[in-house]
Amino acid sequence: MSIDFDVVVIGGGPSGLSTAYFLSKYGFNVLVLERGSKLGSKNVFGGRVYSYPFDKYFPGWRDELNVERWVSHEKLITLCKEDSIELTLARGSSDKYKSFTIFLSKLLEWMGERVESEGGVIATGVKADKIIFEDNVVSGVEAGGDVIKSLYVVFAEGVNSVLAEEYKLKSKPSPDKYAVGVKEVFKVDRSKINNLFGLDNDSGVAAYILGGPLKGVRGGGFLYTMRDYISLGVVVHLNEAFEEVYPRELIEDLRLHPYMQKIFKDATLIEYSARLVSEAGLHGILEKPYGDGYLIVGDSAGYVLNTGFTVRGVDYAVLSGKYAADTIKYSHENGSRDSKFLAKYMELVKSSPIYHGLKKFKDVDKALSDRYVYSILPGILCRLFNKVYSTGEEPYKLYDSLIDSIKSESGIINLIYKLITLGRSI
Amino acid sequence: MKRYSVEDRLLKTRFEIYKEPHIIVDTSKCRECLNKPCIKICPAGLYSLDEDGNLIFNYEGCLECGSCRLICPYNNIRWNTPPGGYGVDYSFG
Ligand SMILES: Cc1cc2nc3c(=O)[nH]c(=O)nc-3n(C[C@H](O)[C@H](O)[C@H](O)COP(=O)(O)OP(=O)(O)OC[C@H]3O[C@@H](n4cnc5c(N)ncnc54)[C@H](O)[C@@H]3O)c2cc1C
Repeated sequence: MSIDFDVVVIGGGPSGLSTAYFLSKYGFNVLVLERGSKLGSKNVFGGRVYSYPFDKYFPGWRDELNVERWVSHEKLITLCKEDSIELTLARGSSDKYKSFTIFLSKLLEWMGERVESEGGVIATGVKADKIIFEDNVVSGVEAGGDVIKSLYVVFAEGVNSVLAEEYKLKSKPSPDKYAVGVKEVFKVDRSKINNLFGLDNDSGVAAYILGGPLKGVRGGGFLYTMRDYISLGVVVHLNEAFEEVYPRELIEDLRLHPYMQKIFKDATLIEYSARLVSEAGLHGILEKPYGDGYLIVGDSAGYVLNTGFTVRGVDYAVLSGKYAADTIKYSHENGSRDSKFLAKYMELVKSSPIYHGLKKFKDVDKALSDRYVYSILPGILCRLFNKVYSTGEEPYKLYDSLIDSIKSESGIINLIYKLITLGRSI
Repeated sequence: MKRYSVEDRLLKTRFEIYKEPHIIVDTSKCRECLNKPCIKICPAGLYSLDEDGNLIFNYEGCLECGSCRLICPYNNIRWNTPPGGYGVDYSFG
């Protein structure tokens, strides 16, 4: 069977649905293919989404989308052997609504409704198997034996871009700049969550965790509070697998640390998930995320930023979908499917928050892959706090504690050098 | 608090298992591979060694994360996803 659409979007993640929403709004006849049995079946992330792209491009979203909690508390949790050090940014009320926690399934369900309300078609449980070329122009896909012809194809496959790689529209990435995220989601009483962190029903916590079982491992932990759930995870640099590091055990080590025990005691595990994430930053983006008849959006194009403290990927995915739609509109108005016109996409990306953010953090990949940072920082912090707050017979002066803590973990010169390099890149 | 085994955890995640594997591992080079990072990186623990030291892989329980796709130093893991509607089915991703 052969079916025709103006645009076929491969993948119903944030980037694909954003593309489809704007294209449908512009009057294009759009089909989204999603291999998962429902929207969200295949998507995994940490838990926090920034509001700004929705404020800008999805008027009315705050009344429609049922977020889990607004992130009112940012936490940096340093775990020591048994102790822990917690640094909290409690946001004032005006900043509270600038990011929220949610499950991707809920976000995508809502984005899907937006697409359908504009007349876009979403086919779930359907995987694009092949790409159709006509005179070297991408002209459609084959899915489950059906041929679907289109003027444009948008690749929104996510981090594992099997099709785009198979047809050499992008090359297979090396593991050096990738990490695996492993996540456990627990059901926890809402009142317990509120009591644990001092929250009300609609405010929440986003936490970055270092040290403890993660000491010396290139990676970090995260914790997000949902309304009635808490997500706990670790993100571990892939090359750690060449050492004796098992991410699947690290996450349990983390959960069993005394700090976490008080949170997860009596909590019920409801889902275990995992997914790759790029840590390449600016160096991971495609030079040419377009070609005759196609565009590449979201993770597949490398639009994700790990700043060392938080990950931005969903916002970039949504933005890139908007730019892809605008580019297709522009090319179509010029009656073209040529990469000359589709190159406008890169212009839009380059003058956007995506590129500005990635550029600002252009050296973050080096910092993130430096093992030293992950071991000395928590080490020094733990020792320093224990000295300064010494409960023994003799108190320690801050200066002496600091020098002693640094010496115990590293040379002072080395530390200063590392801190300067790190300080510049994150 | 008790530690969850990987099996405990996989029981909490929903799967619609397809009759054929979506990942094919060519094990001809595995003996030469000193580190065998696939065994360590797989969050579902699907790579292991049998009694004779041969690498074995089971696709059931695959979380479709993609780590093994990139990690194999010999590029001997042919990675794909299951057919539409099959494989892992997350609700809290
Ligand atoms: C551990 C971890 C934590 C993260 N934390 C955050 C966070 O807190 N905040 C944040 O903003 N970002 C975070 N990110 C990044 C974020 O998840 C991604 O940037 C975002 O999901 C990218 O969206 P996407 O649409 O490009 O790709 P995806 O969300 O991966 O969607 C791709 C979709 O395409 C489908 N697909 C693929 N191939 C085919 C095919 N051939 N046919 C049909 N369908 C196909 C897949 O099933 C999938 O649904 C995190 C990522 C990880 C791994």
